[in-house]
Order: sequence, then structure tokens, then C-alpha cells
Amino acid sequence: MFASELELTKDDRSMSESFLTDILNRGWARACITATRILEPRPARYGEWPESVDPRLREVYSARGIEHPYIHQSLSWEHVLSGRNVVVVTPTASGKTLCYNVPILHTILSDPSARALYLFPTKALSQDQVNELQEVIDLLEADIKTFTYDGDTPSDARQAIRAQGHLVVTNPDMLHQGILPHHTRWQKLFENLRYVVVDELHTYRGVFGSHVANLFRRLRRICRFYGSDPVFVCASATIANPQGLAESLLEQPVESVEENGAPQARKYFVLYNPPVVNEQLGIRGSALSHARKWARIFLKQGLQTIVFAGSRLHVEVLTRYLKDTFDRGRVGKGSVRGYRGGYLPNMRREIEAGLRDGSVRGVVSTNALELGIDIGDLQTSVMAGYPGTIASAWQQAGRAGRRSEASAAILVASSRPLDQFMVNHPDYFFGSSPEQGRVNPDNLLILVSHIKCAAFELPFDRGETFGREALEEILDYLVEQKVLNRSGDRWHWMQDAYPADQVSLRSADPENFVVIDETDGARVIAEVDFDAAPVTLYEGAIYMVQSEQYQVERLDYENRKAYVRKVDTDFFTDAISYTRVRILDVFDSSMSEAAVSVQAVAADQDVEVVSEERPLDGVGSPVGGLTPQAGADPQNDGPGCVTEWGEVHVLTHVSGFKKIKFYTAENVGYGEVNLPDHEMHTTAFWLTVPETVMESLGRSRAEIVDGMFGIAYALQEVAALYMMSDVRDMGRSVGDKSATWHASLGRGSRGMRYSTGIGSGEQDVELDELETFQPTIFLYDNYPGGIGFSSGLYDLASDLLQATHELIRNCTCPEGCPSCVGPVGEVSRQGKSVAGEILSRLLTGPASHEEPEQTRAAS
Amino acid sequence: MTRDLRKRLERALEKGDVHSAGAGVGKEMRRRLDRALSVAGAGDPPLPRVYAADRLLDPGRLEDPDTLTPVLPGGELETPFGPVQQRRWKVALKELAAVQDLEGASEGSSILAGLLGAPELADLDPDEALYLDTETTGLAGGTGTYVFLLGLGWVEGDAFVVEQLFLRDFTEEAALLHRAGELVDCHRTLVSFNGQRYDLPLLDTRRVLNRMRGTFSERPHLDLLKPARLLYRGRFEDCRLQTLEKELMGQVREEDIPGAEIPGRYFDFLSGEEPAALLPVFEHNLLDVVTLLTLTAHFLHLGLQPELDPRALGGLGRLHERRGNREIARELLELARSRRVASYRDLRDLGFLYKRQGEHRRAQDVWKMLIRRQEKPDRELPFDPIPYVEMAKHLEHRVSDFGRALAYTDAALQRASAASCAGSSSRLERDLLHRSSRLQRRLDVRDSG
Repeated sequence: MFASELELTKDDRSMSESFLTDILNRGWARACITATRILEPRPARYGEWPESVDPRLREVYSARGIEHPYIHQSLSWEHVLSGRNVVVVTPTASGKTLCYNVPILHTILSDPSARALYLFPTKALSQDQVNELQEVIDLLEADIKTFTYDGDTPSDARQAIRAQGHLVVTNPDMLHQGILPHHTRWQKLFENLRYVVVDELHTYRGVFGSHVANLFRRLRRICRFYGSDPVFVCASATIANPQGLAESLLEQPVESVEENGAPQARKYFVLYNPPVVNEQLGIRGSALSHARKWARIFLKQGLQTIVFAGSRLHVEVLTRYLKDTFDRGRVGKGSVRGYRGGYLPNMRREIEAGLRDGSVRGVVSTNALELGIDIGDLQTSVMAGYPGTIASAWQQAGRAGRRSEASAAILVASSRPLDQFMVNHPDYFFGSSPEQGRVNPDNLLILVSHIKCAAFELPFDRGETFGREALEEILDYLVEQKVLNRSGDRWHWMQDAYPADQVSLRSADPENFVVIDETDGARVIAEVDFDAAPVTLYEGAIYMVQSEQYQVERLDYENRKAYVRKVDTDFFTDAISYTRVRILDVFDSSMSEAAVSVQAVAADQDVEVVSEERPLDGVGSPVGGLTPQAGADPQNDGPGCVTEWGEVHVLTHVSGFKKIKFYTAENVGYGEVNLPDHEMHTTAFWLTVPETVMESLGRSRAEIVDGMFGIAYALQEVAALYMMSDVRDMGRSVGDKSATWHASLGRGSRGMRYSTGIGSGEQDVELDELETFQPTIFLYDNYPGGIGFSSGLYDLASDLLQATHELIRNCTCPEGCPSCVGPVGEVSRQGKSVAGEILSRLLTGPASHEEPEQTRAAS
Repeated sequence: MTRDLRKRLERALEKGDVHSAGAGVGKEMRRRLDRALSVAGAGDPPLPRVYAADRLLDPGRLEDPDTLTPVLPGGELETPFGPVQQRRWKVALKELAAVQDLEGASEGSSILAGLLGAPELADLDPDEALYLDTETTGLAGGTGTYVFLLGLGWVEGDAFVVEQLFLRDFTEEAALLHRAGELVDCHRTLVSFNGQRYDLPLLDTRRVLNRMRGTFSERPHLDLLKPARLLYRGRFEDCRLQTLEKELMGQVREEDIPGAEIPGRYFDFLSGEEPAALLPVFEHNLLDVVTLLTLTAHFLHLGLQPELDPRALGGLGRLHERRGNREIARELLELARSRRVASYRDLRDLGFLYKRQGEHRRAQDVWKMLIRRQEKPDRELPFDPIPYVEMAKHLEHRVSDFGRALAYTDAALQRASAASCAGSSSRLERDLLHRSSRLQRRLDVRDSG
């Protein structure tokens, strides 16, 4: 971390590097490596200490070995000290904390009444930060008080913190629920608030970011009341638009510093595609087992290694595999640990410390360790599967990286389409800029919930703004709802309630489930988010902590408790859930045309179709929907498909679970689950294939649905790529446009079920007996109220279909595989070919002999 | 009698001197105390009286004859911040049974201040205090909770005046706070019930939001919840204001509005519904403020004359012990015992007092009595190992009667394992086992030696 330690070793062909090059050149590895990029060593680049900075600070840092600041540090100081908001983009461990600590400590040294608020996305990061700050302050021998203020802060300490803390370190949730609603107690802080530090800015995107943007609106509103106007100092990992994200979060101009002056030794970044093990089914070796192989090689060599797995379940499975190998071996018991959200804080602290002091040699983690928690610099990073975004991949790879020793990051692809795309297009992967961080602070659900919180904090006055919607109308609506009271030009909070408690920044429901182990007495072993609970905690589920298996015996859904008991089984469980989507309102609708096809029509050129011409439950008739540029007469052109977006009701039902054997991944049984359904209003993009197209294919209705199911699988992956989001941010469903039936996988056998209703009231239907048949693919935003993907997908519909078609067409498997339309076990044998037929019919237009049919349908 | 005890109480607490309490109560004093208390406690308790606004105030005595009409009662008060609704009530002090000889009561303040460890209350004069209670738009706290009705009471001549300030809408808040500030400024002390945690911080928050300087919570303040809890916790079903009214003053409210309904009534009013639905809130608030005065008088008298309420003897004794007045503590606890009003906890504290003062025989009498109490099948007391352990310690270390010490230990062990849940052994059980085996060893050594 410190400049003086940063001289690169001249001998960069060190032991570990020759080992790395050797292993990467072995035959089995070379056969599967699709690309290796070498990131050449980067020397340090330095800036200067500004003249104006308090000499005591300079002394203290130089006593800690920092003679010269890196260029990114001195650039950001300049901005901050001149009162400009700034976002610094640097990888972890490049000394970014100095970027904000130096100007802030300088300001407090010269004006002891000045205050600063530090925001970190998690409590763990806050703790790290306070320790580091305290060390510097102790060296300064200055009377500067720094405190963490979060849910763990004892209540008797809180008053002192409010009055005396110069630097208050907290997280957005605490600011939202604990500080802003009680701002009068923080009068001193708000009156003198000079700086707000926002670290890990890139985590504030999507739903969380949209909430945080509103939180900043509230924060600035309170600051205005007390007459302060703080400068925001942000730090972000590498994303495509750090400045843009910062500006949309803060709604103020922000300067950006993107040069990184920190040095790094040579680094290898390897893309690895496990070999195809079953040509017929198109199945590749699993990413988990190949990640395990790499981790084993590295750990045996003594390289400290982090393995990232995509889900909590995979973390547990992989930890167990590696423990099986190493707990008995020379590396020793406890040297390989699992790490994920849901572990209790002290266990996590212990693992972090073990990583820093080297006693933990390997850790298997979810993306929880992607953030800047201080675990030191590891030597190798293994990703079991593409983490979903390029930015995340670089973050996870960045956990390995040392100044003086070569390091390596291996991305092991899974069979999923995105993974396959990335490893097979290394130029795309290495060449494209990472994703954008997007927020939608004006999502009405999110906006209104924060307007309530803001009204609780301070009455609204006429003429104020808060977000881009018409504030006064929202306030008057809240008056009608008896939430606010209007007297004259002021709106006051008027409820016996604390609105911040009803809004969680991170998920739809603030109530977590606790997992209670009753094997010996009763003790809480973990917590599970409300949203994750339905697919994690059900009676019969195997729940794993540190690769110990527990079986859920009872679920107390009302009280959010799951009672488990230790078991020893050779299988784990995976929930089966399915979803029905019902259209509530159509916002926009268009006909994507055959003739338009590949030459991606810009969305804003699409002619809007007035919705009353298009009854909700009818097949969209091919009026309009043509771009003028297409130049063809709509009546004579081929039928496309109807694409629409709007508001929907989504109902998810967990119907049961599969038991999956360790190592072989065999399906060894099923279990029943009886849980309440999960309901949500959100926005969706959907696409309906017109009857004319279906008739022209000469396939049965069941075959068509199989094909749609396959398209949906691939389309969701492609959509995630285009939206630069995680696949899980969207959900998919195949069913009738009028919600008379929906399709789901049959239990225990291949093929589809078509049923009405959901849950206990469901009945199977015969597709051929239905009067109207409008198979529709829905892709919905997986967040109440929607988060902006649906309109984006609607705009890009023709590109999406084109890309989906290419993905399916270019896949070499005969009958469907996880890399295109889904594994053969899940789609029927015709699934892939029907999917292809539907798509080419939609995209390339009809043959001329089909025209009469099409005309009939249109009339 | 009271004069002597009172002097000693005052002296002890003013100086905070551990030994100043001097010798115990003389025989003569004890006899007189006993007699006085037996009279006070004789017979059935009186039937509770109805506590209601219209019984406190007969209409002729109301300052404002328009009260209780179905419009908003009272008038408008002009302030530099605009108008606020104001209503005044006047209650003759002689109507308040418990509030007699207030002047005498004020002498109890130094004792009360000493017992509460609150020196700023040493010169509390009930005549110069401001009694304060708020009705709010919610219990959640935070900046979105408003005080819509503030009741402020003070003694004026032979009457208790209660002024209620009410927000007809939220724009009147600054005026309400301004008027409250005026009244706070001309009184020396604030008196509330749970004001420390609730009313005062809330009013301070409202003042900050209205950009007013000065906080109420920094004023000398008697929060009556504190002595109530110290003296009566565990005695009554709870320490709510209305429980204290019933238990201490024998008063029961008639048709009082439940607190949870209050915010809703105000919101309905703001939404344009009948103001009449708010009248019970005004009356509720009035009774609360009047009770603040009676409770204050009660605690001040009690400091001087502990025998006024035998139920408080144990609590007072404990408070004196905490302040280092062991002799007085012992006296009060002994009084409680001889009056047969001592709780299990009172007796246990007395046992420890005896032990500390080296009166081992008396201590043992108490331990034995506690063991008998626990072992009575009809009492259903939770198991408490202390008297057993104390007996065992005494027998082992002072009189070397290992056999009897072991008997007490094993009895405790037996009860402990019956009380704990099956399977797990608690720390207490391990301690007892340890003691038991040591005693067994010592017995064996003695037998073989």
C-alpha cells in the first residue's frame, strides 16, 4: 500500500510465475484455454503533496512510508480541496482511502467544527475503515473523533457520537432508518457537514442504487435545512460510466479521476472453457468441478487462492469439495473456508483476518468478497462461472494481484449462454468496456416511498423539487391517502408510523429469516433474505453453512424462522419454481416485421400502435408497426410478432424441490413444498407469436410452446447481455397472453405441463382444446414496480431476437443444451428445432405462398 | 416521630454520608412507628373513586364557561409566531386529596433528590414547578412526530391552573412552542411522566425544526417515572400513570380514551371531521397533568414519611442502601418485615444487610424464612439459590458444620435440576455440584481424621 514498499522486484520470473506459465502450458489446460491475456507490470506514477495540506498529515503519512502520493491521490485532493465533487476510479488496494482521508483530515485539523460522513455499503467495510482512520489519527495526536454508527452501536454510545464525532462512518441503511429520521439529534453534524464519502460507488446501481439516489436527495434536503452543502467524494471500481453513475446518484456535477498510479506486477488473465463431455447433449464439464481442479492445483502449490462461486449453494458445495481434499492434507484443517452473506459477523471477521495473516490459504466466496473488504492481496482468483457482468469479472479477478509477485485469474465458463459467449469471444470480453451502472431513481414505487420518508423528516414546501415527477401531484395524492396533511403551501407527515421502517433499500421485504439449529439446544446459525428464503428454506431443504449440512425440519413462515437439524446426506436440494404473468396495462405495442429483420430498426422510429386498436386479449393485428424506412406496404409484408411492454402481475410458486447427488449431480428424488405464493407488480416486455406464423409452421401447439420455452431461455440470457444486468435481475415465463394457461416443466419427467391457476387450484389444460391460443414469452423486471429494463428491451426487440436466433443457430448441439435453448432434460427433443423455425419465420419473412393466409389473418 | 426520622433522612441524604444515620430506631420510636403504621394499614382499602374531568371541576369554577361545547373549546392566543388554540382549566387545590400541605412537602425534595441521585432537584418546590404532558401524532418518535396538544400546569394561589395548547393545524406549531418556552422560562423545574425519554426530546426536536434556540431537556427536571419504577416495580401490575392513580390514590378513570386511539382522532379532525371527537383527548391530557401534581406530592411526602405507604418501604430501603444509608435502609426493611408487607426481594436485601453488618444470626433467620417461603407448595415462587447458598457458606466457613452445609447445598441442587430444562446442566448447577463435592471431601477428611 505504501510507496516505499512498492518497488517492483526485478526478477519477475519468480517461482510462482514460472509455476504459472508451466501449468498454463500443460496439454489439458491448453486444450481448454480459449484466451490468455498478460497484463504487463505497471510502474508506480506519483504526484505531489499540495503545498496547502497540513504538514502534520504529510509527516504522519511519510512515517507510514508514503513519501509521494500516487497521481490519482493528488488529483483527487485537488478537486476535493477546491470544493468539487469527485469520483476516483481505482481497483481495490491502490490506496484509494487516502484520496478522501487526506483532504478531510486536513480540513478538520484546520477547523475542528468540521464534520464528515463516510458511507460504505456494508458494515464490514465500515469497521475496516474506522480502524485505519484511527491509526492515522493516533499518529497525528489530534483530537479528532471517529466512530462507526450502525445497528451494532450500543445505545449509550450514540449520544456522544451524535454530538462529538468528527468522522461518522455508517452505511446507507443506517442513514436511511437511523440518522435522517432523527436529524435534529444530529444538528451539529448536519450544520457542519463538509464532506460525504461514498465508497464502492459502483455497488449503488439497479434497485439499490435507485434507492440510494433518493437517499442522497433526502440527505441534501436535510443539509439545506441546516445550511450546509457538503462535497461528495466517491470511489468506484472500474465500470463504464463512473462519472455518469456518480452524477445520476448525486444529481450534481462530479469530476472524475480515472488514472491509476499504483504499481502492479505481471498478471495472467485466463479464459477457460471446460471440455465437452457429452457431445449428444452438448454438456460440458461443470464449471464447479473445473474451478475445483484449478483451486486444488493452486492451493497445493501454496498459492493463496480465492474462488468465486455464483450462488450461496455453490459456495457450500465447492467448500465441501475442497475441504474434503485439504482438511486431511498438508495444508491443514481450517485452511480452506467458505464465505458468504448469511454467515454471522464474527465468523466472517475471523475468516478475513485469517486471509490477511495467511492462516487461511483458500476461500470460496460469493460476490460478498468482491467488495473492498481488507483480505490482503491474494495470488490467484478462480471464478466458477462468469459472474454476470464484465465489471464484476474484473473486480473478482482483481482480488488476485500483488505488487511484486505475478498473479493469475482464471475464469472458468459454465454452460450458460453468456459464459459461452464470453469465453468464445475473448476480444469482446477483454475489449469491451465494462457495464454501465444504471439507476432509476424515479421508479414511482421507490420515489414515493422516499417522498414519504422525506416528508417525515421535514414538511414539504410548495416549490420544492424531489425527483423528476410532478412532486405536488404526488404530495396531494398522499394527502388523499391520509399519509400527509396539507395546510396552505406545506405538506406535513400525518401518520402514526415511521416510514423508513417500511422501506428497505436492498430488498422488497425487510424481514429476514433466521435459521435455528436444534441439533443441540437451539442456536441461530444464519440469516436468509426474505427474497431468497422461498428457494432456500422449505421443509426438507438441505441448508449448508461452512459445508455442514442441515435439513430444514420446520418452517415458521409467519415468524420468519426455519428450524434445522444437522444431517449427513450425499445430496443437496434445489427448488423448482414457476411463474405466471398476467398483463395489467399495455404501455406500448408494436409489430416487429419480417421485412425489417436484421437491420435493427432504431426503436424511436417504430410507429406506435394505439392500444385501443389492439384488444388486450386479442392477437395483435398487423396494422402499423412498420418503419417508414422499411419501405414496404404493411398489408403485403410478412407477419412478424407482436412485442409489447407494460405493467404485469407476477405470481411465483415454489412447487417442489429436486434432490441432487454430490459429485455426480444426478437427480435422485423430489420433494413437495408448500409455501405461500410470491406476488409482485412489475413491468415486463413480452412477445406473442401471431396465429398466422404458427399455422405456417405446421407444428402442433405443444411443439410451438416447446419452441417458445427454448427461445425464452436463450432470450433471457441475451437480454441480460444487452441490458448489462445480471440474469437474475429479470425473470421469464411462457404462457398465454390472456393468462388462461402457463407452461412449466413437468416434475420428474421431460416435457411440459400446461395448467391454469397456480398452486393448489391448478388444473392441467389441453392446448388443442383451447379456443384462442396466443403463446407469449414474458421477460419481467425482477423488482416491484420495475427498474427500467422492460422499456429498454422493448426498444431493442429486433436486435434481441436477431441475437437470440444467432445464438441458437450457431450452437452445435443437436437437440438443445444449456448453452442455447436449455438442457435437453428441460426442453423436449423438438424444442431447439422449433425455436429455430419460429425465429427464422419471425425474422426472415414468409415465403410468397403464405401470403393469402396472412392476409386472412389480418382482416 | 416523623420529625426525628425526617431530620435524619435529610441529614443523611444531604451529606450523602454513609455513617451519619447513626444508631437505629429506638424502642420507643419503633413502637410508635408500628402503631402509626398499623392504623394506616388497617381495614380494607377504600373503594376507588372515579377520576374524571367534570368531577374535578364544577362548571361554575371553570375559567372558560364555554368548555365542553361541541366546538373547539377555549380561545385563541396570539403570539409573535401567530395564533394557537389555548384552553385553561382551574382546579382548586383542596379538591386534590393527595395534594395537601404542599409547603411541607417541598421539604421532602432534598430527600427525593438524594435518593434519585439528582442534586439539581434538591430545591424542587412543587409550587414553582411546571407540570407538562404531551399528546402526539404517534409513538414512533423521530422528526415526523408532532405534539398537537401540550398540557402545562402550575400552582397559582390555591388553585392548579392547566393551560392546554392545541394545533388547529400544523402551521400553529411555532406559536405553541413559543408559548411553551415562555412558561418553561418562568418556572424553575419541569415535572413529567417519562419526559426524559419522550416528551422533552420530542419538544426539543420540534424546536430545532422551528429554528428555535434552547432545549427543554437541559432544565432541572423531575421525571416521575423514575421514582415510580424504583419504588413500585414488581409491586403493581405495571408502572403506567393510570395504574399509579389507582394504586396510590385510589382513583379510577371513567371512559378514558385509550392512548393508541389518540393520533387517529387528531388525524380525523385534521381531515375535517367533528372536533367533538377530540374532547376526550383534552380531558385525558388534563387528568394526566393533574396527576403529575398529585404524584409529585406523593413522592415528596413519602421521602419524609416512608410509613405513608408500606408498599414503598422495601423500595425506599433499597434506595437508601444504594446511597450508603445502611442504618436507615435496615430500619425501613425491618419495618416492612414487621408490617408483613416485605416482598421476597425486600427480605433478601435485609438478609444481605444483616450479613454485611455482621449480624449472622439475624441473617440466618432471614435465609431460613426465605427457604420456607420458597418451599411452600402454594407460593409458586421461582427457585432462588441464594438463601441456600448463604446458609451453606455460613455453616461451612463460620461454624464448620459441613454436614448441614452439604444438606443445604444438596437441597438447592435438587431444586435447581428440577427447575432447569432437561438435559442441559446450567452454570448454577455446576457451581452447586462443585460446592457439594468440596463439602463431601471435607466431611470425608474430617471423618477419617
